[in-house]
Amino acid sequence: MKWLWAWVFFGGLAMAQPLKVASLSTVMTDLARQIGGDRVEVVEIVRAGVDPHLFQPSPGDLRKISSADLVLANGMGFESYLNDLKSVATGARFVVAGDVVEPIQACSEGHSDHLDTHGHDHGPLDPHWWHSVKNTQRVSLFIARKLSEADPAGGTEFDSRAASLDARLEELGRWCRREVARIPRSRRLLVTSHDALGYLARDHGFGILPVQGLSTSDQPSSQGVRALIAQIRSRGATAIFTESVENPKVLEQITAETGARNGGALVVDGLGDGEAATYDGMMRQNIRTIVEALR
Amino acid sequence: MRGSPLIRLVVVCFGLAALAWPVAALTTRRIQPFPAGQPNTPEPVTADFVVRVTASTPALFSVGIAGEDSPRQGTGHTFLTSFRMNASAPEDLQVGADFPDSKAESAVRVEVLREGRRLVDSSFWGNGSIQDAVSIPTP
Repeated sequence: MKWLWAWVFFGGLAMAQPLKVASLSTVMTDLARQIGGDRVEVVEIVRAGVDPHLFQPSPGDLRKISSADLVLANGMGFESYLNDLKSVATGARFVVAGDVVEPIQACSEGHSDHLDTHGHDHGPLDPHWWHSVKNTQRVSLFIARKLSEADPAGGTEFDSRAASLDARLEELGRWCRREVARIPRSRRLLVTSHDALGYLARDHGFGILPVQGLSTSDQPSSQGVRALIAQIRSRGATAIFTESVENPKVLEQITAETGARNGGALVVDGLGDGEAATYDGMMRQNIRTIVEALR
Repeated sequence: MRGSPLIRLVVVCFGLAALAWPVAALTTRRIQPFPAGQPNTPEPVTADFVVRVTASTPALFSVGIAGEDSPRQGTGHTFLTSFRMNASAPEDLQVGADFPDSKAESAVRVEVLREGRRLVDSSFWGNGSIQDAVSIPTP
């Protein structure tokens, strides 16, 4: 009888252990927490405020990833170390957003001057999938499915929370559409630090001119900058949006020569601080910044 | 070099001027003031876009576009209005429908016609209030 009680007690403890999820994506961390609730413990490997382009997992991170049941990653070349990680963390199941989103080519406008200068291999596809709410809805359902596969007992809970999240994302998508509709079509041009808003541009009819990526170093070639300035002027861009500006001199030169003003800072490489600490908040903050600058 | 020193001086001056001209052109280029929001494009061709909004129950409709200060409004089952816009890049429509007398789920149908041809036929559902935006496909 004692053995039976011990089995029930320790069995119960084992059942109460939440699913361990390691996340390489701040956006997927937020989604997994909303869907998983108490049944899931999400360990942030890449945190908000850390530049994901420069991030490399430490030995401590590798231990956390190896002991996780699931690993969340963006894919499409965003984590240049992902293939190496998969060969090391053989016990974990990888949930890669790139497997379910409809990818677009990086530099959606064929901006041939764009070269990668920020330390990771974007590859031919744009890995910044979360700037499309539709993509995020797909990834949310994908995460819910993978959580259910890893923890079948929690399947109903995961499905229920995923459905609620999907409804909130649907509402967020509507809000984004209505806000962007306030910007005249002729002004829908995003001059950004780097080419990270391709999905947002696709969904809402923006053109994109990325500032960063004009050369292979922090000092872009003068011809490249001149070409970009000419494009900004000919297309009538009124604002330039910043993020983590690596070369403010270039930006100053462009704003001075084009007359375009600083449109404000966008959170483009994942989640940020304050309102942008959640996916919903990040999207609303970015859309508000864009609408205020361009309308 | 043979010849008059004066001619030599003139030749050298011409040579220096020929070299200096492209340098000066590059370094002393004047910054042109930028006309904000006015790209150098010809006047766009415009067209009338007729918008018809139909609701399942009586509603307070609003339809607005970028550039107009306030949305156009109407009440009833159907609301009809038209916008004159750039034919090749028409603005998105901000569509709203409030149902003050209905708490059940209601539906709104938005149609956009140009010269009798239907360009958009979208439906939305919601409780109490429906707010969305409609993009008009470009040719």
